[in-house]
Amino acid sequence: MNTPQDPKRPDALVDLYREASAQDAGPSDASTAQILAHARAKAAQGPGPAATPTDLDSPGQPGQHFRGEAANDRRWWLQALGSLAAIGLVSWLALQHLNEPGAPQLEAPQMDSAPSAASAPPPPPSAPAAPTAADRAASPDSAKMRSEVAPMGQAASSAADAAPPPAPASAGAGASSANTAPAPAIAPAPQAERRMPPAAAPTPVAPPMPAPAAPATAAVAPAYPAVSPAARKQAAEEKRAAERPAPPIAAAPAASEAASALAAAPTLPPCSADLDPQALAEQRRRIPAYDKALAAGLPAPAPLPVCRPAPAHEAEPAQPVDSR
Amino acid sequence: MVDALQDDQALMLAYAGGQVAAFEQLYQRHSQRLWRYFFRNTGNAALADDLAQETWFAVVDGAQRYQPQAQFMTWAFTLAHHKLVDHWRRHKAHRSLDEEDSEGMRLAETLFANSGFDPERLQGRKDLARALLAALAQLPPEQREAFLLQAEADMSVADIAAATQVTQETAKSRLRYARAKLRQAIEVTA
Repeated sequence: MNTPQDPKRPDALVDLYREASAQDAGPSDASTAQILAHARAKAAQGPGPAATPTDLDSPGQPGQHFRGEAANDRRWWLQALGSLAAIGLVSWLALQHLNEPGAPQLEAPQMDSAPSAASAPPPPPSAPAAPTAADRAASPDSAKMRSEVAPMGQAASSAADAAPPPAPASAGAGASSANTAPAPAIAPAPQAERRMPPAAAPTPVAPPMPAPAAPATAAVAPAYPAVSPAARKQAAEEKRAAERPAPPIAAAPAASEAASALAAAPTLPPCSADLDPQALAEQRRRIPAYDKALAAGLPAPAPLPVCRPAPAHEAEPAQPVDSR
Repeated sequence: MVDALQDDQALMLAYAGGQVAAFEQLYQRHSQRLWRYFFRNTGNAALADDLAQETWFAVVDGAQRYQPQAQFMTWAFTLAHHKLVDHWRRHKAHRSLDEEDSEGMRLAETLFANSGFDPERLQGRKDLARALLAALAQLPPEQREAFLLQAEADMSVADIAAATQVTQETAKSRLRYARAKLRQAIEVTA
């Protein structure tokens, strides 16, 4: 056996080979320069993944050639499931929270915008309603989402919130209410206008139940030209005041329209006698807070009442008003 | 400043840490041996330059992942073997002689006829060395590579087997045949 097992053992054959190849030229200067330049460039780049697994496949590095995750590693699957579970849990909790009676609904941002409006220069007494209407105009989908999320128990409330004022008994009464009290109907107007074909707008039909949005558009559409010059001036001032401090929600045109409409808010039409009891109760619940806010010169709390119930009904105890 | 007495593994780790001088020292130590490995296997200096450069590039690129669990030379010559095999695959097909020893023996028989030896001209050790190189050039590629891995990289049979991805018995057989033919050539020369 002439195969040396120990490479350290003196080997005449290897020694002779090394002696024979001692005169070899070796690598060229150009190759050496390129190698060293590459080494310097790599060192200047700093640590980083550069080698391929094939290049590093050596007996000196078993199991440490490629440290990235394998393509068939299912760890990402667990992470995806965990993320979905977390999202589902948060959504379910949010829905539960929104379903609670008296819980803050999606109008919460409206109240959040009130302090910012309060920090602005003092607006006219009727101006504070503008941010609420602007919020609503800026996000018309919020009303839609609110009505979709609300449970059956609050369906009347949501419907009344998005519904137009109850239809008057006669067409003349409807016209007069449109002229005198456009403010309550202005909030759901953008949504209603999107739903309505334009041809249906000018025909105020008295619905048997308080809901369809078409009369709202009918009531609002002719109301804009009927706003008094004083109210329009007031609304313009209010618009300038609102634009000066750059409120967080940028919906200036919609806000100005809503403000001009709400300028005539104090006169609410009387509620129709054939109004749905639930809707009537809802209006009755909204009226005290509304009157109180107007008397104090504060922003009217949303949702706004759309009509004023008959005095006989006002003797009944009002339900607790939403603190929002 | 890199200590001149540092071993190869420490130099490699130092280079991975950003010390270019460590790599320069490493290259100074082993560039000649690595180049000779390619030159003896290919017989072409320019090609040896290219393959050696590719190997050193791979060493540089793999420095960040280098783990000193084996001799640096074992790792570097394993890379060199892969480069050589890639070259052979790209440029020429070579037959394995492992499964057919008769052809290897026939090559050994014709070794001296093709090596240009002339006993009358051989004088001293220098001539023996020259005869060894000539005989080495006539070896089958696998046997020649096995011998070169032993001679240039100080690899054991186990290391040669791992680097060339064959069994230890195969590596041992290759090395044994190579050494037998070289020794026979020298003895005849002497």
